[in-house]
Amino acid sequence: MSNFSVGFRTHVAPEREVRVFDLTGELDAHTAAELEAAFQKALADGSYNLLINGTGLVYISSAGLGVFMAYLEDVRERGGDIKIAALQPNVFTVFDLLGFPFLLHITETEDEALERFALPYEPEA
Amino acid sequence: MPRLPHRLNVPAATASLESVRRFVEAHARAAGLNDAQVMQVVLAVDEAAANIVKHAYGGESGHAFTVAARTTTEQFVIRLLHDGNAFDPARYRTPPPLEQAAQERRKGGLGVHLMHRLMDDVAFRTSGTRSEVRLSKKR
Repeated sequence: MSNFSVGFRTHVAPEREVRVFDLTGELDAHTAAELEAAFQKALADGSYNLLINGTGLVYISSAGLGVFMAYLEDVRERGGDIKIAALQPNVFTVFDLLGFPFLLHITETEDEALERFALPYEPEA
Repeated sequence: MPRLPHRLNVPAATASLESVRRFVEAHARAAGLNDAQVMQVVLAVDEAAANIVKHAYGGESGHAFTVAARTTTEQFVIRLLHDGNAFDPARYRTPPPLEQAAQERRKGGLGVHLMHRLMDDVAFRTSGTRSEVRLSKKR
């Protein structure tokens, strides 16, 4: 039985709509398919601003990170982005180890990530 | 004196990864590794196990693999044993920079890289039809 789940919310800002994914549990090679299905659904719905809230995410392996890698260019080509917020320290460590902070915005809070959808992505020096 | 290894035998399926992580976590803690080291070993073993499921057995059902944990005076050692396709380290290529990987929409290819980053030693061995991934961490 999977201990992973994806919750959905939509945040409507004046100029854009952001699809928020609340991840709970452990994201590994078994559960990554659930996140991928959620991303595919969002893209099929025409939602390209994707925000991951990692408050409830307790574990991630490279299979989970691979989902972000696989969809990042697709959403950016359509004017959207993937942003990640509120990761637990252990989980952030894995993103950091592979250099993800240079690839996409990883913020401490969801509000901060929402604000950044107003800006194009620029890697931080 | 090194103790005899503890063993876990599981079906070669991604659904087994959670129990592999719990097994490794318990034995890494018993070996006295700190929280950060436990996290590193658990992730490295998860990556090795996922590769066995996906690549050694190509996602086919009906196979199994074994995880063995052993603590010596200096190291905590995990061995993953299987009889699927052997991983050939000579054919392994370091993954491209992350930006390029994203442009190419690559979903995988980071597992072996992560194992090397997280462990003190990573070795792949094959003898006949049996293959082994050996991951070790200094205590």
